[in-house]
Amino acid sequence: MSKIKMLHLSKQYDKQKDNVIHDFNLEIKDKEFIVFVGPSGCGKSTTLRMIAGLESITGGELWMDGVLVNDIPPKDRDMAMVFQNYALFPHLTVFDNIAFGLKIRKVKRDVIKQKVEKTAEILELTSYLKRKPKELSGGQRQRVALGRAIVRDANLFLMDEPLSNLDAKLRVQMREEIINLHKRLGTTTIYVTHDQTEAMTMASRIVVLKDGHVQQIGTPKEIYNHPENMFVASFIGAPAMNFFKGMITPDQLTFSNGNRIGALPAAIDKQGEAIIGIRPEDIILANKETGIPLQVDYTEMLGSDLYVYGKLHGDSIVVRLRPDHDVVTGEIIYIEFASNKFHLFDPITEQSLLHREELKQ
Amino acid sequence: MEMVSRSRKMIHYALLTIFSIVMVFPLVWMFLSALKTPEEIFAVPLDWLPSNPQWGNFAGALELAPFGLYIFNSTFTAIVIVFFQIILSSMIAYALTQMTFKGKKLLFNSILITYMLPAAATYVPSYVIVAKLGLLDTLAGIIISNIASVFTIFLMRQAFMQVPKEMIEAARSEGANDFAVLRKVMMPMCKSSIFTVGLISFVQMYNNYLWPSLIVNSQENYLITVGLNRFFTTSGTFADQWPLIMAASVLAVLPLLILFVLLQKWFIKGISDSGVKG
Repeated sequence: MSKIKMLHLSKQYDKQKDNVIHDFNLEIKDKEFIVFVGPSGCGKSTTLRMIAGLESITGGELWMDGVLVNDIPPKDRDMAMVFQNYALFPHLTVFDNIAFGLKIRKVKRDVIKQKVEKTAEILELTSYLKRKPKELSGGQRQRVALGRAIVRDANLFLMDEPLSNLDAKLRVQMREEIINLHKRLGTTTIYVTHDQTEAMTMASRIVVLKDGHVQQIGTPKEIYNHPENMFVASFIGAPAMNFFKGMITPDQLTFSNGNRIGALPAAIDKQGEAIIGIRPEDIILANKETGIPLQVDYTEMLGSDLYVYGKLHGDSIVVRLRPDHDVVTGEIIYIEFASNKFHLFDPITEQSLLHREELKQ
Repeated sequence: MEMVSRSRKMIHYALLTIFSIVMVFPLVWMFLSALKTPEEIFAVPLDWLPSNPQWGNFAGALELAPFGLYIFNSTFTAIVIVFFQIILSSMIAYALTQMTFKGKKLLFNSILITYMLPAAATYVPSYVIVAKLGLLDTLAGIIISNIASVFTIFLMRQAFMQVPKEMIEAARSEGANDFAVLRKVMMPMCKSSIFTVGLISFVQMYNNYLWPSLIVNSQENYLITVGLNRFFTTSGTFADQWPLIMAASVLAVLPLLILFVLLQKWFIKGISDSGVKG
């Protein structure tokens, strides 16, 4: 059980003028799985390390279960951390690695044995307990690191890109294991990743960060369907959302040259220039008469999907089609946009022009 | 290409062989002389091997002076000194690598500067301090005046700097305090460096002559280095003493040789890597 509250949290390194984290506000409920996601250097790991106590907090307040923990050292924060490169102790066996925290806390020997064995069973490590980390594969090492975290029944798990050193297949497998583990233990978890797929599949809520600023906080669905700005819209989703310049008129959306794009997705106060965003899967094939022509630059066949790349009035665009469509490079296809799927952004502030309440209806 | 690298290798081996012979020759000479009669040592032309090994020389040497006691004194003080040096140096190296405090750089630099002082320049003040502590002519005096070693601090700091940051952070988030991090993570991970430092330091302390000779007076506190020299100077360099002196020297070298044989694995490891490998 752990509730965490971050109030105006900020971080500034000694010799730097600017903050690396600006005014971070977040309230985490018990048992939530929070994912911090953003490009490298966005401050997600720094924030996690501040919560862990490995990095000092230079501004704001951090509360855990009603206690202000700004100045409490890591060892007294009752959390367990999993590191990107596992950080297993090379001189200790798997058993001793998992038991490390319990031994530090002077837990009785038979209790340690029982707990470690139970943990090893959950993570399928029982036959490796006597091995040293260097005799294990990447996935096994990662499981040991997880074991070290869960064996102590800590109130809070902090995971710093725990899967990024694994190969693709193992990553998917471990992702599932972590999700199951969270379901089973219900421990509040904060997970840092730069991989938007991980964020979407694991999180109960996602925090999108850029340059130390929180861009948006919401459930994966909210973030995907109602991005609050162009950064979030482009960062979440693969391939990324298409953007092109357009105009908002009182009754419709048009390209800059006045050609109609579609109906307004909602009532909008603003008129004039706007950036129009549409996800690749919200573009559909149309007939020659009503559709917008698009010359195909190249295609990508993924088996489950077919990505078609082209240029629309100078802006690059990608369309996601079913794989059974026969589209070849150089061909002209006709497309239209699914109604109500437009995202509209202010060209200067890059903020969404749609009010979330209206969109949610 | 292969020819070049091969001839290069041959040159390397030739050089190594020559240096090895130069290094090992005095030792071999000492061993052989310890088994010769005085006449054989000074025989012209040179007699390489003793015609009849004089094993009795060792017993004779031990009768002349209490070399056994001297060797014990040397071994004992060296072990205690190395023990404390490693404990103290690891603590300061930990502070120097893991803690942030004002004047850290200054502290490290001032430690290094003391290393640059010629040892002789510190003898007088050190002597006065040892005297004021009432530790002149005691083994405790030798031990206490040697337990702080800049060399050990420096090497331990270098070794600690190689420990990945995540290891320390992992230990911390697992609930370890500074002392636990030092004892359960840093020291085990730097084991080979510690063994190496310990070994070098042990040899240094075992061989230490000038300083102990200054503060020790009574025969029961002599170190082997001091004891050998006093024996040498008091009984003169008469030819018939040479086999005994050589036998005593062999006895003096034995503890070091045994230590090297036992720890050579660690010694080589400590020199060839930092002791930290994932």
